[in-house]
Amino acid sequence: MPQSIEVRVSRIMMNGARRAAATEEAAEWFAAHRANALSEDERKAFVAWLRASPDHIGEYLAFAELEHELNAAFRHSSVDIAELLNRAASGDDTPGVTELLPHSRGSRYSKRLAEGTVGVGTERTRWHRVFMTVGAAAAAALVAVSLNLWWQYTQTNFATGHAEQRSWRLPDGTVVHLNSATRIRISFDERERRVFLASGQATFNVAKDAAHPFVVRTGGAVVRAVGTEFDVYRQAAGETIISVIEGRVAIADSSVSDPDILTAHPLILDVGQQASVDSEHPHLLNHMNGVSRTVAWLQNKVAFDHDTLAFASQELNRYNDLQIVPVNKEAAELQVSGTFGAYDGESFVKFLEHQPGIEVVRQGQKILITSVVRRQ
Amino acid sequence: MTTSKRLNWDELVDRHQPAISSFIRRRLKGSPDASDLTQEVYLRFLRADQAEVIRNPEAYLYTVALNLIREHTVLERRWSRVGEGAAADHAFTDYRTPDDTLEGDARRSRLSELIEQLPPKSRVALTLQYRDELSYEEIAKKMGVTTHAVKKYVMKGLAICRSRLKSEFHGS
Repeated sequence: MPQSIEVRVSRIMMNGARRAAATEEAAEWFAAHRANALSEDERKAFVAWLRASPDHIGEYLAFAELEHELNAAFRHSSVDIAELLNRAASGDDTPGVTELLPHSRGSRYSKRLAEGTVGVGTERTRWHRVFMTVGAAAAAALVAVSLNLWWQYTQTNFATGHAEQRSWRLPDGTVVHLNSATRIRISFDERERRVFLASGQATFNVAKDAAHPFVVRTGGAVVRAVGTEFDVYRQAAGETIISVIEGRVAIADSSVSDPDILTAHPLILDVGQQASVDSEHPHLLNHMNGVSRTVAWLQNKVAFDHDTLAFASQELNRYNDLQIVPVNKEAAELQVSGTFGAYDGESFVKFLEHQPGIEVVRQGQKILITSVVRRQ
Repeated sequence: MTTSKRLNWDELVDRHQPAISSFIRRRLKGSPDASDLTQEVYLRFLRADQAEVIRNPEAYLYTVALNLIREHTVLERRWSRVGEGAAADHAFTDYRTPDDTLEGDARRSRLSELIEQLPPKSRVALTLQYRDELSYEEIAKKMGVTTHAVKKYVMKGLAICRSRLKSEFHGS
């Protein structure tokens, strides 16, 4: 038992040593680049080193930054080179400080450090301690900062105007696409990522973070996701349509409080499924290709499949300045199928103009549609 | 050959310095999207066409980083523009290290101190390189050592500055 603990400790410490090694190696490559043009073999070796770890990339870029700082720092330097050279020649070169720790000894030193058997007397160990601390501090800082951010992002609103679509990357990495005339509020805290959809339609490509469940509420529904992409459309009529593009979500009506969703017999939606939530409990929808039609807006398209003109015009009007208005009941009940450019209301109107039995009257931006043939 | 390479690089950095600088600074500060940035640079580097990369790996690396920074700047600008009212603006601009300038000043003065405390040979090499813009060959001649030795002095000097700054300014 104690053995396994020891192994774990030394592995953690190795990371610190490896980080120190990365700094040295980056310095070496950086200096090498400024000494000579590298040979092809050297360039290959350099690429292999860069590819070995993101830490290497990070360190190398850090030296690029340092170089710029050095350029600035030396710009006004009036140091006497001759005098410095004299000092260097007389052997007054501070020993120890320049001696960096050999990589291969990292783990042994780490272990001794961990055991507290290494003193701080020599420059070597001091160097090593610096590197060790950096590793731990880096991790701590990262945690601290991300925690801070969760707090900071409480209660932030996003909105799009009429005929406007936008996408944002949220601080947790989730990408949210807002369709026309949509308002959401995000409240992230240390327990949960909450989104309130006040109106409109939004698609969430949720970043995986099991520790912070991602929950979307509308007036009527609670949708909980774990690493998935789904669309929530709060329709003007009061119905909310949830469509799963990837992964799985759990849906309950809004009487269920967030933490209980998974235990309250939620409706589980899988890829390609849609559910509707109105004043009642959530229920599955069985439209063919329902999901792809609902999220066609992500490609700036609207898709209809035997939908009424009332519905189709309402959809198109979300994206266009021209507003299509079915005048009589017969027009409203006409069935429409096909895929149209969401922002190309004009094409849709032309399509209607070519249909027999339909009269299209333009009044500025208003397009009045009348069905002149009695149906049946 | 060496000179033209250096010129290219300096030009690249000078032109994009603020971007690289804030990129690195944020990465150093351990801000969450910055570690993602490094990760993303890494992934793009892995995905890149190898023949292309090997022709000039350093330039390729900087290009990837700069492109990414540009994308992020666009994203951030979109973020900060968005939302209704002050809450959103506040949330999305605030994380940009308001103490950037203060910390920058502290870093600068600390770097000057560090330079003075460098082992003289490293200090000479760095001064000749960055102040007098001499090549390693010229520095070697002036110091009466081999270019290989110059490289060693430079490397030590750089590593010391980097490590000290890293430990003292990390996450502060």
